[in-house]
Amino acid sequence: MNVDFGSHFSLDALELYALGMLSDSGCAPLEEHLLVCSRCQTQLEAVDSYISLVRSAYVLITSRSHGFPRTRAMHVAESL
Amino acid sequence: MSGSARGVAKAFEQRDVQSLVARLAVAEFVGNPDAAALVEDRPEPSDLLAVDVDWKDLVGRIHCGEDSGMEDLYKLFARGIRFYLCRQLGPQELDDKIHDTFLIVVQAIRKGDLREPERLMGFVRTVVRRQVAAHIDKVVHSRREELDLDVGVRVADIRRNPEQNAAFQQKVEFMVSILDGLSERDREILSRFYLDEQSQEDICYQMDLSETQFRLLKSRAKARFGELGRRKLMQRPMSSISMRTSAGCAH
Repeated sequence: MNVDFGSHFSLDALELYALGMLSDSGCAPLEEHLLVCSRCQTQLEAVDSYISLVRSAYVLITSRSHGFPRTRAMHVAESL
Repeated sequence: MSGSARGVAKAFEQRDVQSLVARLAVAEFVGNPDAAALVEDRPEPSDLLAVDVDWKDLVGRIHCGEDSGMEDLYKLFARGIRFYLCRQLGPQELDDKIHDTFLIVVQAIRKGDLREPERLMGFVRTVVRRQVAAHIDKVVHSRREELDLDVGVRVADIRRNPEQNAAFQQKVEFMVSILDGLSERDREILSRFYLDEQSQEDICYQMDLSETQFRLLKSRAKARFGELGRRKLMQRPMSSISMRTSAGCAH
């Protein structure tokens, strides 16, 4: 088996993984790589933090009524 | 060998494995006795070691009960397993869970259950995922059965300490100012992706965007966030910079 540990995953891939948007077949190699790659672990932590910040910011914006983040429900409602 | 003798031998072997795993964990912990660094500063970067791993040899040594095999397995996977478990379940009882994971992996290898040594990473991943699923299942059952009691399985406490909270709130404010500076349409695009978890393809299709435009928007927001963070940091008084920083669990 050729395991190239030098090939790290892209930030986009880590972002999709963090958001739970990677397919099962995409998850497996990434999770295996994460088990032995401290660099990608660190990157994923940063991605997790960023997503958490964006979400918290949207919640704050909503609560201050500066503008409303469009929720899935709104998109669905519009498409009906 | 009689059945009871086999049982004794098996119990001895299991105790031996447990003892070795425990010794490795203690040695690792003693090497870094700062309890606050429980998660972040644990073992050495394992990917440096992983490059040169001969899986067949490693699995063979573990199968034969060689301590060096156990040590290499631990060096290779300890940080990654800790990272995965902590990310999924929080920092509670982390050492116990890691210990259990190693026990399962080692015992399976010793029994000869891992027939393809080169699949060791996949096997470890499967064991860790099952550990996570089992823990979640346990918590769910415990909550159902002990709804009226205060006891039961502990769940992860992921609250930040006051200093971390303040820092996080500051970052949220940076992010709010960045989002406020975007057009309503750009804000909606980011919202669809990060909040609604819509796929890039759906967003681009529904909002008539090219993939490049979508990626540019995301990367610009990130760059702006980094830039604003650095600028604000430079404006902070020296007293706030020299304050002790907390070293709690980050994930």
